[in-house]
Amino acid sequence: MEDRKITEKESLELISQMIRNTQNKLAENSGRPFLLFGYLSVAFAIVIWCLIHATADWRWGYLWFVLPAIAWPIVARIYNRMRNKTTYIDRVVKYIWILMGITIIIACGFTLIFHDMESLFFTSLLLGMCTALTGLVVKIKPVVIAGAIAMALSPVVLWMQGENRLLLLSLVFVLVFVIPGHILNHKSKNNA
Amino acid sequence: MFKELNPLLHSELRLAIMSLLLSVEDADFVYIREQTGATAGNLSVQIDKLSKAGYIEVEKTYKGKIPCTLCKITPEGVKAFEEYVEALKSYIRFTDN
Repeated sequence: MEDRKITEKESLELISQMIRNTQNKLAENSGRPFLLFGYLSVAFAIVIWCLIHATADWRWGYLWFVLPAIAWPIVARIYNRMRNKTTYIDRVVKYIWILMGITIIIACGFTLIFHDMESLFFTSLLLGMCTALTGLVVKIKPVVIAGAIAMALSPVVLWMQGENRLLLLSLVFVLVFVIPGHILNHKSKNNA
Repeated sequence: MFKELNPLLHSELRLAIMSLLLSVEDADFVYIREQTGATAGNLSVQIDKLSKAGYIEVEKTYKGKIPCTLCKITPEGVKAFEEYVEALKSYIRFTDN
């Protein structure tokens, strides 16, 4: 493309071609932050379950606060490196998950302060909702379904006992992060 | 009656840059170069012209340790683009008739 004058029809064609090229395209590897959070969260849930199970000490739950401290800087780095453009969809998804992260930290704080695990229900429900919302925004049905299943599973936490709820939570992490992460990566590779 | 076409926008590369930036929040120099297929030197000159006209904002930043130039359309740029499209419509209507 050069700095040359064009006809009016060429102008219109060029405008629509450029808009078509950028709209509704996911950045390549856009599932990476989901995968990082997903696998780390599953690993944390299993390790914390093992530690509580072995020692009967609920204070191992404080380890959850290490997760965002590890994952957020890495996700910010990945996001910054892979980003060559920001669409309106990217911005909406980013803010959904930032608000989600803050809400989850507050929910986890309450769980640890009040020594019960009721907040795991809200955590699972919110995670499922945000994944479903992400799926709706990026228009990928399997991501919406994964989020909806996580939402449907969340009340089961209320009927489970003690640290075993963490096992259900790890399943929720697979549904809200790992599966959508792989789907997003696959889709972004196909439409790059 | 024809409306005058903005000469700054009525150029292939500058119009492509503006159309591209209109449909995203921001885009980096490499992405714009890939999408337009322009040479780095030419693109740089055209971005500078649009920036001086106040149609786009240019931010020099870093991606890790690599320098990165981020471009973003300004409200003034959006207005100019809308006026350009309106003017374009009057030309198209005339040629269709």
